[in-house]
Amino acid sequence: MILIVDDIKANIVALKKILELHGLASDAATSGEDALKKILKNNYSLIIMDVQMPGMDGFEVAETLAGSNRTKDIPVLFLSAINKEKKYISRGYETGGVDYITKPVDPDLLILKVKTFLKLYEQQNELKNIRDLLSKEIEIRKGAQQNLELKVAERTRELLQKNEELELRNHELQQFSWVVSHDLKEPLRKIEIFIKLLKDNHLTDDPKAIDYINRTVNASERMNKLITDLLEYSRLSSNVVPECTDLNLILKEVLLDFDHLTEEKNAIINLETMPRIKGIPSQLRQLFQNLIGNSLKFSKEGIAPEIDITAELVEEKDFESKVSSSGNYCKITVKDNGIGFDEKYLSKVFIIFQSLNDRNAYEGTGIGLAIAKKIIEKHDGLITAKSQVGVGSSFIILLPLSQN
Amino acid sequence: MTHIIKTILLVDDDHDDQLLFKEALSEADNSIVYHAAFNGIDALEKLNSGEIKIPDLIFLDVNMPKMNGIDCLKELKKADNLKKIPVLMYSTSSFSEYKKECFENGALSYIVKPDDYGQLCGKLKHILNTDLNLITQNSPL
Repeated sequence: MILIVDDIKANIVALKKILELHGLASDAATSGEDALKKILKNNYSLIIMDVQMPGMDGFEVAETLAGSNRTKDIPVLFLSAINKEKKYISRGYETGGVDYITKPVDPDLLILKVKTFLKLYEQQNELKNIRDLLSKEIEIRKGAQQNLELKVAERTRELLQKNEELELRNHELQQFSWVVSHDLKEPLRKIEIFIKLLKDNHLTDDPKAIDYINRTVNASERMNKLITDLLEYSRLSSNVVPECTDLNLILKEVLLDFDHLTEEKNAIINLETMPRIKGIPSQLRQLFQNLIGNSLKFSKEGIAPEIDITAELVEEKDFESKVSSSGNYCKITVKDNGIGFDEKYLSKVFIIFQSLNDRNAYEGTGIGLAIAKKIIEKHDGLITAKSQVGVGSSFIILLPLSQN
Repeated sequence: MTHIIKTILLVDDDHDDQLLFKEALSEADNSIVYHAAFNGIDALEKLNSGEIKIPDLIFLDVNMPKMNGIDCLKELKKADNLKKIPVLMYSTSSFSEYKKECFENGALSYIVKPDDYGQLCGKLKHILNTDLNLITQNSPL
């Protein structure tokens, strides 16, 4: 809607007519005061204002409009028949007018101007709306961001605290299991010693008694092994400084320990040359003891175990990493032709006490691979396995050559 | 000159271990005189009061109430009349921290209690046949 302000009614009617012809609706005010009242009440998108009016003149109205936030952006088009001098025109622009037209007016030009200003006003309004929306959006995002930051900080604090608690608990638990394992071993040792004394020196001719005693001996041996493994597991948490370790020597020692079992089972063990790495020798020995021990233990009945221990250097800490003689990681595979396991249990085999096999057929405490995994983790390495039931298993480890 | 062992003192709070030790010792060499004390304090008192004559060899358990083996070892090595007696630490624990401390305080060797009676007899026989002067940390019993 356009507002026409003029104290001469005839002018209003004429202007109104021209606008109407071009489909533009208009309203009218006959004085400056009247105009202000209407502008406060209604929304106009353009004001065509006569300069010379009794009472409040056009300039004064324009100045008043410029002082208010709501009205300052409404374009004002001055129209004057009398004040054609430059100073009036200047004043018109100064008070906030967008144009200053002097009479006689060419109706076509006037309409073009009106349309241009209307369009500008519309665009300006659109821009303003967009700006408002954007600033609102920014506010919302700022708020959300702040909220998020607060939440993250809070979560971080919580996690740090939890972590501290967990570390403490973990330490306590390790202490506990160490003490328990250690103290459990003591009475067990007595049971074993005395029961063996009883068997060897005092029971010779009662087969039933000997059978019972044998079962007792077996059970206590199993328990002893269990406790030894537990002790080993909890001991892994203590801090030991890594040193330069020749895996060839480690494996030689481990294989020597298995001499008896290897011979008994007619096992063939093929060993490639191993690298030197920075590590904890006692733990690495334990690692290979457990892996090779498993391969020997879980062999197929009646078939001689064949174990291949291979090593290669790879570029990255990734099982699929490229082989490279200058790689920083070594990938060692212990492959056997034993009973294997279903790979769906892969996630289970490295968890403590998760023995997959029937205890009567295969002795084991379910700690060996958990220990292996923990050792690998302490060395900042990786361990996985590939296996097929009835075909065999491969345990693959990845160890960094140096420890940071 | 070889150190000939005629008397042995076992310091151990565990009665079962004392019994086993005594029997295994007599099986290894029944001419040896065996004495026992139940902890560090008991051992020092018995040695100082003369209740037990100065033995030729001491087997000293590590974990004991009242006074543990390491403290007892320190006391033994402080006393002029006792410091020359060879001391063998005798423990179920193979924990290396203890071992180090024992050697630092003058123990001759560190023996882990065998899990088997036969082994214990064998171990004692071996010790009795060994010239203790030749024992070092690098060539243990």
